[in-house]
Amino acid sequence: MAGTPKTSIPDGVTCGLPMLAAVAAVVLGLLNATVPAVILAAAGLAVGVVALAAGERLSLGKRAARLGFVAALSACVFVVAYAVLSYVAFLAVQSF
Amino acid sequence: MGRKKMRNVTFGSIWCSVIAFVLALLLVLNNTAMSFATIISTALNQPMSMIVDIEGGEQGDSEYFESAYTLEELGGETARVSEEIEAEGMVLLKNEDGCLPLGPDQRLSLFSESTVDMLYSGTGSGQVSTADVPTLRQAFESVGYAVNDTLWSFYEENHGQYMRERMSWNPFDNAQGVYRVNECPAREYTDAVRASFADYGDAAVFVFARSGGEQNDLNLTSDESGGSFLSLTDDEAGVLQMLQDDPAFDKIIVLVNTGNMPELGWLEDYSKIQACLWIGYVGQGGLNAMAKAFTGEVNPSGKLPDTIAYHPDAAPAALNTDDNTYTNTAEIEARYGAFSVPSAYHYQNKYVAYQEGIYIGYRYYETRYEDRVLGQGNAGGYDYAATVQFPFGYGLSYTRFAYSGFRAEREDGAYTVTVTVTNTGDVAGKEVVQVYAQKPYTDYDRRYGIEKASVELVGFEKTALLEPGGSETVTVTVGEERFKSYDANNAKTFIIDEGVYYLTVGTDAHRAVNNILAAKGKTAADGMTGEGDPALTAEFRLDFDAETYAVSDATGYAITNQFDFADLRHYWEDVVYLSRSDWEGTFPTHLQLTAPPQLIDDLDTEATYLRENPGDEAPVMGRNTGIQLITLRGAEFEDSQWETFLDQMTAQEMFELVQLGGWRTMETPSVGNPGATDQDGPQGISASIGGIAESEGIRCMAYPSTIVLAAAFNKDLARRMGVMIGEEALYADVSGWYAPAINMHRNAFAGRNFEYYSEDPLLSGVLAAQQVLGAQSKGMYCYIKHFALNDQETNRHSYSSFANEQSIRELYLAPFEMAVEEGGARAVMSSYQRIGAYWAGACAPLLTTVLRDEWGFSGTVVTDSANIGYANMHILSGIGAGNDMWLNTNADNYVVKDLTARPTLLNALRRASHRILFNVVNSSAMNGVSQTAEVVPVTPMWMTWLYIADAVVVLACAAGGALVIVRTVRNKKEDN
Repeated sequence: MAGTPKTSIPDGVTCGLPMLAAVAAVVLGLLNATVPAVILAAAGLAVGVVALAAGERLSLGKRAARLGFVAALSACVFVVAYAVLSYVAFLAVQSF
Repeated sequence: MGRKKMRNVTFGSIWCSVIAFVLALLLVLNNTAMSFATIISTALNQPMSMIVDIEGGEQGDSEYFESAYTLEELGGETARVSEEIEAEGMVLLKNEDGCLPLGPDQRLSLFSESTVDMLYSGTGSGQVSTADVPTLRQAFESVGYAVNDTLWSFYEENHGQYMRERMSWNPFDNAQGVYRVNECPAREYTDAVRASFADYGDAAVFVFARSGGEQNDLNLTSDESGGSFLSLTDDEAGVLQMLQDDPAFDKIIVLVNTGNMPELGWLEDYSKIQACLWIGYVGQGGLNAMAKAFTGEVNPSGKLPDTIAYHPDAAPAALNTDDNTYTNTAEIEARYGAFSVPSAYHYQNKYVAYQEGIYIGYRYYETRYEDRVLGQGNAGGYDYAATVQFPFGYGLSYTRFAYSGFRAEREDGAYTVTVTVTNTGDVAGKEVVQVYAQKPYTDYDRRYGIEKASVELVGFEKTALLEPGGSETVTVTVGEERFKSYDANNAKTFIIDEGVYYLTVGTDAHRAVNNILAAKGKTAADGMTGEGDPALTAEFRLDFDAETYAVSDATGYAITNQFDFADLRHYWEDVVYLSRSDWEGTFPTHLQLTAPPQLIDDLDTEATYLRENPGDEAPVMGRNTGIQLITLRGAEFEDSQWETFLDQMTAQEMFELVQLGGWRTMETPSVGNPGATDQDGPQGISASIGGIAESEGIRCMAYPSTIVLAAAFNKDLARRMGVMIGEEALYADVSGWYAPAINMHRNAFAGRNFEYYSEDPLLSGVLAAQQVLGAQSKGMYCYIKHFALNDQETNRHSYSSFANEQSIRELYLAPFEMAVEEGGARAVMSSYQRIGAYWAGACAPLLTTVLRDEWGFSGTVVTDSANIGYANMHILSGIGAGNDMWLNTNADNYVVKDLTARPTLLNALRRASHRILFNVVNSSAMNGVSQTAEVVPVTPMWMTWLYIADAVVVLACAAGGALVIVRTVRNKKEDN
């Protein structure tokens, strides 16, 4: 398919969206809104994964895509860890 | 070939994920630690405030309560009291042919797996430290006995396989698990073990132990016995049969190591069982006292605080205990949601029906017996001898006592009972003089549904140690108020019935009934189990009186019905309570109740929330009047200075005082409130959820369980134990004691019977009052608990108790009333469950009308443990009803927003703060706070370390993040 023009995706989408989702997810997670936080972080992660996977075929900044992916992944880990550990702490308190 | 370099994205993903996890962990740890800062500080003995004397006053001026002992002396004295409680509380149930005492220099074989795992306390908040307790073997060896080492080692070695399974105190197991004995079967005893018996055959000592504790009642059924958890299991029976068949032994002595009264009919099944000693849960000193009873150095003088029935599961109260769910639970759950963890034990669909009315324990067994003898009340084929093995108040001695010179005289509204007790045996001993009354059961009672027991304990005294031939004239004063009855259906207050009243002394409740029956002209020929002694009875005739006891003696407040809403008939008109007018026709069944629509509505927790009254104005807050708390020490509760003082407190300060009362009372530095530490439990403050009371080098004493103290029937001993608790508390910096626990032994299977005294309200109330007097004399305040009608553990967090007003007042509130009015208790712990449809902590008739208006209580009411955000225990639910403090350590629980916009709530918080601080200022918590002192907040050391750890972790994470960036940039440059 040589010669086919690549679709151009701005960094704002490949990096900005996952980053924004990551920040929002962390904030929601800290506010104990676990479900929307996880959904947001997962959405950001999905964008990051798609951007990384499609990077060869699409015209986008690879560094921006990687940054977005790492941010979204970190947010996911944080939100899930925070929720799970909070619940574990709660259970520990119950036993106490 | 070099290792393949990790891609930047992979490296960054791994590291950033790790950093994210660590940060999440750090946040959770910090959140949890800060939410529980007060309890962590209490547990670590690192206060969040300190007392600073601003004018250099001497600390010695401010020691308001001082110990009478050095620390070393105190250790010796508490050990003596612990041992003395057991010495006077253990009950000799059987002693054929003078089997006990064995005398010196015996060689014993100790049987059952429990010998190496004796029970020193129950489980839960009432458990005690066992760090310093002797083993059974050590106790016997301390009196010079030899113990079969082969057998002991056998039990120790197989203990992992056959050890007792206790109910865990895990809230997620709520009443779902089982207690198991798991005794080592006879077939496991090797030839070598059996061969060892002959050399240690002076006696076989068999330990029958049953655990019990908080959160879970004992099982009414057991796959190990075919009976209940309180029955002998098949494996235990196998061991006893092995001993019966083994010629190495000619006597078996049974030790009953239980906090509940078990089934002991099997004592009659083995001819070699010659002696049986109930020892309860023994604490630290108990086994030593028990061993001394074997040698004869101690002569048992305990009396049963509960009846021992052959089949306690057939008692009328036992038929309506355990787990009961409304038949239309789906309808209730559709309205309120299903119970689930962690929605915090908010049951709306559980209940307990006190259908037996006043007939618990001996009030049932002895009353039906009398009616059977008198041929009245449709007593049916009731066979007392086949029903009751050991009556209430029963207990043998190594000596004998004779009673003479009985007199009962009436003067100024009180009755003086006098009797001379003579030791007619060969060894010294103590005797308990038990005074019982019989109130007439009249046509008026039958018409208005008032019930009367055939006998009620109305007084008791314990003699001094009487040498052989020695005697003591004992006087017991019985106030006429002991003859009153609650008439809930006509007079709606306490009355004195018209008719003949009897007073008698008896060595147990059954002897007392027999004495009265003898006075009525009855003999064994009429169906009595034995002859009574009419010379030990007196008769009085009283007229009907519905006025004298219709007002509170303490406050003058008019006494009338308060608990109609808790009566079964409030929701189910056709339910009948047990009545002696028709035993057969009214005997309880296992009530299967359907919740009517009104009850479903009433179960709505939020319906009891405090509503803002539009006319209310907020109290003055945050005004600096310059009054420190210490200046109010000794001031009356009503002193006007309190109002000026309270004007200083902010809304948040008042709220925190109410909200965060878990194992401590919060400090309020701005007004000089140093806070206070509160500790469990009834057997002593040696171990507690709020931390182990071990400061200043003291390890507090583990006393025998409360039921053993009750069996001692010794007021002086109860007071001395209270004093010792108070003494220990002075060294351990503890001011509040979550005890005594005064719920009733409504049935034999309640998990916390070991913490409670008895099936009898007078015995419970008298001893609790003495313990309170003792502890409070040393600056403690006692949270008498669990107020009220929390007489079982199953579903305890919010089942509904339904009972009639007569039984509530005469049985379940009476001991609390005595602890308040006679003991001066300054604090109360409300209970978890509901009274009728309403949480006890939100029950204004209980916490305000009865407790404060009728009894004159001006102290603090704290909730039961509220660390989980229980939906039905919200501050808005209880604060208006008279509950002052939440036994909660989590600042995130029970939060109320917009405090300053809630004037009605603010006024309630102010009232609660007044009560809480009135308690604190008159307690040992003020030790060290002089008139010139200030309380200043400090950061406890653990918090400082936490902050340092936070900084280290955050810096490490930042370094990790920097590493990722540096690596990415460097790789990029290399790639270019």
